[in-house]
Amino acid sequence: MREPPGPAVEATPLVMPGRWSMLLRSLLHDPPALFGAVVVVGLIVVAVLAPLLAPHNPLTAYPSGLSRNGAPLAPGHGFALGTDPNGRDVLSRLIYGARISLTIGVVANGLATLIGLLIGLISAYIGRWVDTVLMRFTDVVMAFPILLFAIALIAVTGPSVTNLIFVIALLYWTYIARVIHGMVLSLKEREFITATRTLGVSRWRIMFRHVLPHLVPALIVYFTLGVASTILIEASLSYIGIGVPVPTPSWGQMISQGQDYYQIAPWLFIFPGIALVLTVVAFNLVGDWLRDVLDPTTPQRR
Amino acid sequence: MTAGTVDRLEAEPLVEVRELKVHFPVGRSFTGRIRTVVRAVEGVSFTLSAGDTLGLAGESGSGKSTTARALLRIVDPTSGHVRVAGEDISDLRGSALKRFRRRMQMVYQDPFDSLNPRLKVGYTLSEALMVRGVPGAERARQVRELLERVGLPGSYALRYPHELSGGQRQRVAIARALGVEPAVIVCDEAVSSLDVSVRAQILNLLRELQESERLALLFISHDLSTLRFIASHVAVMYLGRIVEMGSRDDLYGRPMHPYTQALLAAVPEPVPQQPGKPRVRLKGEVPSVFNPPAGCPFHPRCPVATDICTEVEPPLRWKASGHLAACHLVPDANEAK
Amino acid sequence: MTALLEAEELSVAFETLGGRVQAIQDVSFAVGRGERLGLVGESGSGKSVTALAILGLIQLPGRVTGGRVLFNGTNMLERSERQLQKWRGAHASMVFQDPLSSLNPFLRVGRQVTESLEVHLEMGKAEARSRAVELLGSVGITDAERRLRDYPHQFSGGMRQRVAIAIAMSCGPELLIADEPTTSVDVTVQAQILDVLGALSTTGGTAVILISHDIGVVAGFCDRVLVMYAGRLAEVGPADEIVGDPLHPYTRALLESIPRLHGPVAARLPAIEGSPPEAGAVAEGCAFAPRCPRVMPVCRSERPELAQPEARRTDRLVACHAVAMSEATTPGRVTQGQAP
Repeated sequence: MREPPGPAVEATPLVMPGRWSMLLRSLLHDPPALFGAVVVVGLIVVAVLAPLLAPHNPLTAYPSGLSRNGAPLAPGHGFALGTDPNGRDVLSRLIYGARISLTIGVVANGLATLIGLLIGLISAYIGRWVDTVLMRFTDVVMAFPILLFAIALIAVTGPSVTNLIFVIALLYWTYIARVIHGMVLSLKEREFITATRTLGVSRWRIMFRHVLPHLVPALIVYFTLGVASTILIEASLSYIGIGVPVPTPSWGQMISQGQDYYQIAPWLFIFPGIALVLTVVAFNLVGDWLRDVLDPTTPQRR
Repeated sequence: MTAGTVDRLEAEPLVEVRELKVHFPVGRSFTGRIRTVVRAVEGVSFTLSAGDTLGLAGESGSGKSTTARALLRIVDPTSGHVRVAGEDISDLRGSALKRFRRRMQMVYQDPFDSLNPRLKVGYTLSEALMVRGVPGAERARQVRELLERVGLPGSYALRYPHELSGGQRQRVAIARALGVEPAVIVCDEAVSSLDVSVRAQILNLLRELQESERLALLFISHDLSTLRFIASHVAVMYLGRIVEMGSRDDLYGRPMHPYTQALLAAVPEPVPQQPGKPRVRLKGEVPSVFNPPAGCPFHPRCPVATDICTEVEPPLRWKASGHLAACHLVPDANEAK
Repeated sequence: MTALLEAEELSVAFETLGGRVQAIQDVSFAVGRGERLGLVGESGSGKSVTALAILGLIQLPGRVTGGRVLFNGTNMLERSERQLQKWRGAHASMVFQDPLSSLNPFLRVGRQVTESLEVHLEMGKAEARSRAVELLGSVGITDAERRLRDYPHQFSGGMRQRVAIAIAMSCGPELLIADEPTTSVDVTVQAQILDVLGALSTTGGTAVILISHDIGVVAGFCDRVLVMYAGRLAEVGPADEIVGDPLHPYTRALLESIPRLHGPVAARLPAIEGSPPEAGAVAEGCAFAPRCPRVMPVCRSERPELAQPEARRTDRLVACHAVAMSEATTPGRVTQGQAP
């Protein structure tokens, strides 16, 4: 045995166990990120356990949910957060809305990330005409205003959760592609890539076994931040009526419906509004924290 | 007029470089015409045989690293020929280029960045074996053997580069180069970034491996002391040209070119200072590669430059048996006194 | 006579998410006026941290955990940041390894020189300008007047370093710290830069602390040398003695492992096993023990203190059990150099 191994030096995060305890400590020292993380985890729990947590069926219009003259009930009396004009339980709809929003946010974003990753990685690494063609194509798609395009696509395909996911994914991948493209361009110049190419290793192996691991931290950060954006996009689309089809609950939809009743039943839009804001802020906080933690150039805080 | 090659004990040189030139176009004008050309390597010739070590010495702008990269086809030669084991490799493409890659490998300067920090050492080495065509089942065992050959325990295959010291990383880099069973290994400042107390280990390792594997070694360094130990012959480069080339004893014992002399005098040796020793100081700095001087590229800084030096570039010629220099003021070999 | 600069038991640590990293521990030395002191060490030795600590430049997450830095008798570590800012540049100054990053690429060189003059010496613009021309000329930059208007990237590497030296010297500090000033330049330029630095001490009477990993550079330039290993002092003494007759096994082994330009070429270099420890790695006993050719059982349990071999000069100190055993020693303090 020649040399005693030295203790690990710089953080190459996500690679080593033992990094987890450092991540946890960093989280505990960062109150906003901790808050965000708690909310996100809570949201996931709510979404997954929706059937167990929801006190009522979100789709059922309960006769007892409306007052004598047909007005929605205020919070209390068996409906913790009140009811909507159809007599449906707001709390249950909120809970199932979380499930819908999160599902759409994660799946649509996951798809967008995958597409963006592939396009960004391949175009940047292979370069030349492939790069030019793919990047110009990305520019073109980016130029479309998302909402308008989404409206047009959904008008053609019809509103459904699946269509919604595809539409969002097909429009959102460009941001990831741009970021990945830039990263790969600079990674290409690193000496270990030159060394591996000189070894005679194939391009594809280099792309997926050498370059891709370096992209993972950025992908995680952008995925997290992206979930916030895609949830908002879904909410916006549902708000204007072309998102999640009624009666499946969606926060955007609930806000849209609630705004007509703001004077007599403010709880109809307040609660979904709070839920939306809280969710988006939480994901953003967690995304920011992840970026700080995974970016090795950030100076260490105490 | 050809630049001669240095005599070798071996009959057949493994690597033959003839009038290698590497020019980089810089800055295209609006119409697409090339505006300036950086002449990084301007006509370099040498040979390298199995079991031999040639040192390439020089400072910034000398073109030594570019020469190495052209040999490995990391950059493409602009003109001239490079023959490896008889095959002209300057124009190879595609799968022929891939096959050639197995013959020549490089150990890079930066031990931190020449290994992928996100991949385990074992994986990096197994890729070299993959290229060689070693079947999957065999690879793990051969990775361990490679590690042991460079003086590391086989268990290091499970480690990441950041868990290793600079010297250990460089050993891994050497193991990777060995993995494809090359005939030639080029070391580009392979020990310059290592701690001083670690350099000797790596130099010893390279020497041992060269002997056991009968490798041809091309060692590039700005440090003449290191080259004296590892190389049997040394070529000194300045602004893309070889200005002197000879055996170790000749070059260090009887340096002919004024630049070589200045370089040797400038090396700070860790010895007690002799008072009263004249301090030879070269003036100025290496000129910009964009604007090389006319005539001999060294003349602006040369303490003994004459008129002809400012107008005519001196060719590299035999000045003594086995000793070449490019200087007007050094008499040629056949002009015996 | 009080030393110009005296460091006493200086210790610096960094708090990272991975724990506390002790960069240097109990480093003491003294520099006299016009003296040239060398700090030699490899990675993890703490030589650069020592320089930063002297100038009060240690920032979070690092802190000075012990010791004093006395400049003309005053402890600089107790001064406020404002007082330190007035002191830096005017009395003590630093030149770094990479002039490309220590000079502001967006400002003309002339401005960077005059800025210091205007701030510290409160010179008027015209006076500062003419002084700047003088300064650039004094470090060997020809056509200085015209070059004032150039940007750093228009200078070559060696020239940039000269500019950095000119800026550092602009207010006439009594102490200049040069941290690896020649590592990024060619070896033929290195000699020129060392000449410039040398003139500062010989003609200008400035004390120079030269930090380098290259023991040859340090030996050729400095009067006295401090050899550092793993954050502590290993050996101290006059430069010629350190390289001519090294006492500490580390210094000795290091010098033996360096290939030479003269003398016979061996088949193998006598190499030191292992690597220098990571910065802040805590060792019981002597940090060099795992690699030491003269290691003894006591070396692994007890850390050797700096001691002065009685038979030698008073400014020769070694921290080694083996040396302590073979030569009678007394515990020593590092003082400023004796007259040669």
